[in-house]
Amino acid sequence: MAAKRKTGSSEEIEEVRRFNESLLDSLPSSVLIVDEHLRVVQANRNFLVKSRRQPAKVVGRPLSQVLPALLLTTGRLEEKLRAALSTGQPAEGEKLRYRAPGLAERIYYYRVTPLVRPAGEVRQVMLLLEDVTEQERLGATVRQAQSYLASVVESANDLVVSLDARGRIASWNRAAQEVSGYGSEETVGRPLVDFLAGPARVTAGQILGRLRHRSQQDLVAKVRDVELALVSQDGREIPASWNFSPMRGEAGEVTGLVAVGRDLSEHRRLEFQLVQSEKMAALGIMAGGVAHELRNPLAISSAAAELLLEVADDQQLRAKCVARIRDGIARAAEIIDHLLRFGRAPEEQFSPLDCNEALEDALSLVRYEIGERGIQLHMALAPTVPVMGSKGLLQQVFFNLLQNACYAMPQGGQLHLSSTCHQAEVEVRLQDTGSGMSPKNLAKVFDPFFTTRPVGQGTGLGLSISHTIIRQHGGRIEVESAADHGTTFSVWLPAGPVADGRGR
Amino acid sequence: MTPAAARVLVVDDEPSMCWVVQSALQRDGHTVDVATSGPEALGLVRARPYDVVVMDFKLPGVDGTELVSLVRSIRAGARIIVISGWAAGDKPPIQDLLRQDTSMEFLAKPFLLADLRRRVKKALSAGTG
Repeated sequence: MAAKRKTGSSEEIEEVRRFNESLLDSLPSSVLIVDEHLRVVQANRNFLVKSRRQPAKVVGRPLSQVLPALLLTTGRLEEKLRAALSTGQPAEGEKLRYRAPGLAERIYYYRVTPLVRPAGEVRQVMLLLEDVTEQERLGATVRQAQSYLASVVESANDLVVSLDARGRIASWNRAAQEVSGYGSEETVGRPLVDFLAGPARVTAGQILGRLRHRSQQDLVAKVRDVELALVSQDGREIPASWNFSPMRGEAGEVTGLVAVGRDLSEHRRLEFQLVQSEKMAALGIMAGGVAHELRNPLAISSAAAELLLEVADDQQLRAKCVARIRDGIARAAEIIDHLLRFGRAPEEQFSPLDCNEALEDALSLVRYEIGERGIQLHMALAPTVPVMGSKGLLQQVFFNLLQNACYAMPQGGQLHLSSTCHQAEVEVRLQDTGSGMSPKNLAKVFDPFFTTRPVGQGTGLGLSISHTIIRQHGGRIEVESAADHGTTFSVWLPAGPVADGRGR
Repeated sequence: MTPAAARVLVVDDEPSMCWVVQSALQRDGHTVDVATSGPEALGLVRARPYDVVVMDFKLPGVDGTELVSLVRSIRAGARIIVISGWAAGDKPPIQDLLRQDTSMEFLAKPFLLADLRRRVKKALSAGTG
């Protein structure tokens, strides 16, 4: 070492000593150099500042007077310094916790380095102490935040799955495990699509591809409410709704994806129950209507039977009474027949037919009302409108729509009926110039039991049933309306084979 | 016309119903007309002084409640007997009418002819007697 060279002027020696001292002083750690008697030979500025001591109270003193006894004993520092002096081997850096009386605990990192002379002997060791309390606390905070986040994800009721940029599962939370029956060890590292039901795989593949290739600026790119069924370990398909969002690195690049899924099984079950209870309610209403319809012919039969009893002498009247009784019974039987047909699975009744016929049949039932209200009818029908379906049910739909149109035009108006064949679909449109509907009512128009009519004039089931019937036919009903500007209903059905005869 | 004979109008959209009621009441000596729609019934009520109107509640072209009040406005003294496929309790408007107008009668279909005849007779004694 330059300072120990015997040659050189005293100025040079002094300068080297000052350089060494300033080098030690500029270190941000506390440095003590001790000799083989564990006396402090040198202490740097950092140590003096931190320990609030004068150099005279440190240099030349035994280490035991310079460092707190507790610090020395917990770290077994003296032992380690002696070992370094005798072996010439540095001691591994270690952490040391120390609480000065009345102060908060500090954490030090220390290192013991022997100062080896050119001949290999060791007369001094350097003790380096660094206060790492802040870094340690920061680390603990980060670890705490990480474990907090992890526990949030773990205890979430939703399925939280993170994927790497290639769509492979990186994490699989507890809810995902419970719902799917697969643990993390079976899923992490495998593509998410492996755990989806057949049709969902294609959709998922597209979504993942799209999210990955979104431009980096498009930070809000998300895919919401996609239904992808999981396949559980025991082979069940579990309906689930998913939201996907990209995870991004600091440069904005997509580093992975987060998929949050919600198990829809319970939702489906409730939906089913709701449908069931709606069915029951609808059945109640229908039973009321059926009762009314049945009571009329029964009243005729019953009254005619009573009359029959008292006219023993009048053969002509007796014959009339019997005819009325039979008539009433036949009509009651017919109502029951219709009722049974109504309940039958519609597919069994489907046959090729011309939609125009169903429309015209329905129209014949409301012609009286159209005339009565002074409604002008405009027809623009395609020559034939082939569909697969049930004529009776379609007739019921058109009847409901026509009745609504009539009801909307009590003072008359224009009713335009048209049918059009598009490529794969046919469209039947009913446009009236009646009272129309507010957006609020329009939103509820297909809800069961929704009606704007006075009590007793509408069950609120007509459009709901129509909607169901058209859906059973693989079609849809669209409605446009504005208050005082009339309503347009468009019934869309898949185009069917051309009917060979008159459809029934 | 004997004191026990009434002028009766039967209103029902079912011609068979009208025929049976008409035949039975005629056998009792009443004079009976029939109508199968609201407008037809109103025309007759305006033209002839009926003592009793036997009417269905669900008719084409007119609301039951409306027809009752129209008949009342033309012929205040006429007795109205509603015959309906609805039970009175099923149908709030019928209940309301019965509450407002205690002279109104109600028969649920199917009814006994004997009941109807008794009510026509009772209506006659209350109305003219």
